[in-house]
Amino acid sequence: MDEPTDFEDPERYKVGDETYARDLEALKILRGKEDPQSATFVIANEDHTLGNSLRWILNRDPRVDFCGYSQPHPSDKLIKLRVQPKPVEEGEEPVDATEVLRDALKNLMQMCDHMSETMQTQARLYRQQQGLSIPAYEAPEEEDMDEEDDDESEVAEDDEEEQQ
Amino acid sequence: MDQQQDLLPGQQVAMEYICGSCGRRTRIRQMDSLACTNCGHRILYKPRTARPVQVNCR
Amino acid sequence: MDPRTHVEMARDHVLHPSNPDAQDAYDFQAFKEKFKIEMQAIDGMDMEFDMIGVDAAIANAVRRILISEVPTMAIEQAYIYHNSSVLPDEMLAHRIGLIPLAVDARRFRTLEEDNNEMNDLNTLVFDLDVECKHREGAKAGETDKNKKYINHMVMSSDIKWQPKGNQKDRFKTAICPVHEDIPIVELRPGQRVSMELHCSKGVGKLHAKWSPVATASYRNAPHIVLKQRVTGDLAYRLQQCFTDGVIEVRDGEAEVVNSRADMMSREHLRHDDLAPLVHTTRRRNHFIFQVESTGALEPDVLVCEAVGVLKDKCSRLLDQLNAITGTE
Repeated sequence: MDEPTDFEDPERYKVGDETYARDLEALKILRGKEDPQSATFVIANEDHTLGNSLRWILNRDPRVDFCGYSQPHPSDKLIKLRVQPKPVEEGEEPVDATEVLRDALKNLMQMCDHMSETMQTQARLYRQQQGLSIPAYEAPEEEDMDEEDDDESEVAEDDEEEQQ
Repeated sequence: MDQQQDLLPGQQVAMEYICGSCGRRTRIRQMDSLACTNCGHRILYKPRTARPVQVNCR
Repeated sequence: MDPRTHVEMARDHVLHPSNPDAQDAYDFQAFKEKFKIEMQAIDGMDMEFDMIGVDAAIANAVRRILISEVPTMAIEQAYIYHNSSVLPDEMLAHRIGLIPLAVDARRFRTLEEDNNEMNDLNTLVFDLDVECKHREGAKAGETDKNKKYINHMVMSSDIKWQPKGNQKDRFKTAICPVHEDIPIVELRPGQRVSMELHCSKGVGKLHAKWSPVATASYRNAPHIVLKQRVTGDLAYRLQQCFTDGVIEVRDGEAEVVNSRADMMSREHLRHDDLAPLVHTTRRRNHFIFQVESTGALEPDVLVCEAVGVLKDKCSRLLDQLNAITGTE
């Protein structure tokens, strides 16, 4: 199935990173034959963190008939999210699952903005009241400096030198 | 360790070894008998390489 | 107790764990009205706050992200020149990797982003060079290690930052570990450790050393309500069933003064005469969070970052979706 392994290949000797699958497509959309509106979204490198959150907000959409997700196996870094929109009345435009997912993502992002804004406001207020210093909630501004590919470590680099 | 300048035999290069019993660093050449010059103990260890060893901090 | 807003604890099961009615459709205005953050305390690197008006899915997502997906800087590679200590190279390196560093990871890029090429924007370099020697003038038979030896313990304070490239301009104060008093390894005269350490950006998901929190957790806010008036001996016995401070007996009558403190032991349910007297419930959408930062960033900043990571996940998926469907 895979290409023949090359023992010279430096990728082979990288420190194991089983938490991030590099060979999966980021997103795959699976459709059935009989229900063209519905879809299963196969999302790579996500877990219950995003899966359950999306499931929750999708189920709050009145256009959704069914929504659920699962992680087929914890060793496989992907989740499957199933979205089935409600069938529409005669004459109405059918809604596609991708449209519903798109809206759900935008709604969740909207919620996130409000949550972090509120958190920041309340934290600042609390700190002021308690006489605590106010930390940098945003990443500190970096002045525009030329990205020098400087100092690639004067040390003996990846020598492939294993321990004695 | 110094770079090996002469890989071909002929010259005798002295290398340091650590005695197993008295801990003294002894220089031994190829032709010498394997024994600590100090105490005569015949088990000698090679010292740690001077090259930096890369280790993952995980 | 309203099953839509409370979860009830019975003796051997939980009543209405999920909302029995269909939930209301998502409405941003309604969410804004209900959503509250109530700061309870910030004590050094520990913080307690309440998040009200979200579902468990979101609260849990924030908790999971705090633990495993908010980036930090940690030492990743050790280039060891000397190690005659009692610890093998890898054990020493493992300990050093776990030392939290007082750096804002947001000011750095990951090595991956830069194609694994080290530069002053994705790598920090530190030196560690400690040799233990006898201390002159120590009297024979001295037992105090500090008097007998010089450098008998390698400490986290011995890790010295070596600014590279424009780092000395970008960071006015020296970069060092959060704590200077972490023992790394003990040495005796003649032993030496000497190495160059490279630190890079990562997430807890990859290795726990990159987790910015000692831990982050939440519990649903307890809500304890007496079903009837409880007086006399029953009042004192009921008080004993709950955590200290939850129930007070005033004028011979039991009163719930602080539900929040209860640890939900359900002790009262083990007594037939006490069980029917009180509702022990938890508020469904009220989460009491505890965030303990390891010191790189303040705990409230970490929560904001975590929410930002959740937003980024959505944004990334949205882009991928649009790329496939070819819209927008």
